[in-house]
Amino acid sequence: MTSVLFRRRRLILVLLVFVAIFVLLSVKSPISRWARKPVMTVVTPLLRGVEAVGRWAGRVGEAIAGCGATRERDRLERQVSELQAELAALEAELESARATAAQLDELREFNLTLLPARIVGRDPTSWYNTAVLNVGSGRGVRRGMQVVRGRWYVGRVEEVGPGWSRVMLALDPRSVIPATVAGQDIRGLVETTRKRTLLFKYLADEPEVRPGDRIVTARATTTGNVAEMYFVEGFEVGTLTALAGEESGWQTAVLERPAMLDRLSEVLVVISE
Amino acid sequence: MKTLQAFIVFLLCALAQSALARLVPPCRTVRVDFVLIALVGYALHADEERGFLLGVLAGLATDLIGGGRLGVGALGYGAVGFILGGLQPSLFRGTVVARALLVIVSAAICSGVIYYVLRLYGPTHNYLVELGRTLLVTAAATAVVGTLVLIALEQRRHA
Repeated sequence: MTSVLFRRRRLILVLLVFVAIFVLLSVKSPISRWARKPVMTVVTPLLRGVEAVGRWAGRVGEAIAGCGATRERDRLERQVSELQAELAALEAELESARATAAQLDELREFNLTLLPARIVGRDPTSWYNTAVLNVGSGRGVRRGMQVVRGRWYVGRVEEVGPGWSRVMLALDPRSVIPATVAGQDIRGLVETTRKRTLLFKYLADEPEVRPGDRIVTARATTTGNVAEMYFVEGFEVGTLTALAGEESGWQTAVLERPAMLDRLSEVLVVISE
Repeated sequence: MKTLQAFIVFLLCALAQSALARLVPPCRTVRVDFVLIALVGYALHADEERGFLLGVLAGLATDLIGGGRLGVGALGYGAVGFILGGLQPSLFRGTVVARALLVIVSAAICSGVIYYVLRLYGPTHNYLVELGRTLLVTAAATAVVGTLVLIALEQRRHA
């Protein structure tokens, strides 16, 4: 018996792994977060480094292409191009600081505690739409916190580690955003469709909404193992373009969202009100 | 030791995918699956069981670096590893077209399994667009890059 088991040990291992994966998938537990924490804590500094090098390389490339120094052998011209590259890198930093300052300015009236953050990685697969931030629990980030860009809602913190956090972006298939029509008491939930557009769902019959209405986040606080969120009201989710019809007795509307929100690098985490 | 080395390679590949998607926005649409390329490279020199285990590790690496439920990628890549491990490698080392086809089929199997598992365990969203994108764009881009990488690896192995 023992010898048979020993001979078939790899097959048994395969079966055990197979069963383990199905158990992992079937049980709702925080095991994903526990497993990801150490890996992401090790990997995020690498991501930060790659991101910084990538930005710097991009600027250097632009500077070199701009001055045509590749064709010149002269020492002075090389020096000029090096200085230009350095300047370009500093300008990139300045640009990033200005973007953050502009966002903070825009949000002054909200009276919130905001934490500037940088997106250092995106989801490696096509199935989800998440981003990795360079700030984590060490800076006060918690699961469920809102991430914004100026007045726009970007996503919500899904996982958090000491120096990193993962944000579920608004266009992630799993994203659900409690929302309301700005200036009116019409509430609903914003969800992502198959075609990666946003739908404002669960509106009461004959809602008094018009194309052009701004849909903003609604105040919501939920805690729990699966979904945790601390939503501050007033951040724009999208602009209503049309009513899409009725679904199970509820009205649904289609939202439009600026494409630039998918190409962000600097964002703010809403730490507290 | 070799398995650990393979896992580190898979992790680095997933990391490269994540960094590329951030730095080069078109890579979010035309995504090259470096993890799959690495898995094909490893699994072609393994049997079914080792291929499956390597595939599970490749999927876990993707699941750990990415969002979503842990284990979905492990099943998708595990299926690819199992099938590739069971194939006669000599059949697929001959021509460039055979290698490209191998990568395309691997990408299709992987995304097919992931799609099915997400339909079973995921939220109500039905992931058809993601499946289409993976089948058409990711598979093609991965085949182009993967074929070149596999040829280079094969030449290095012979050298």
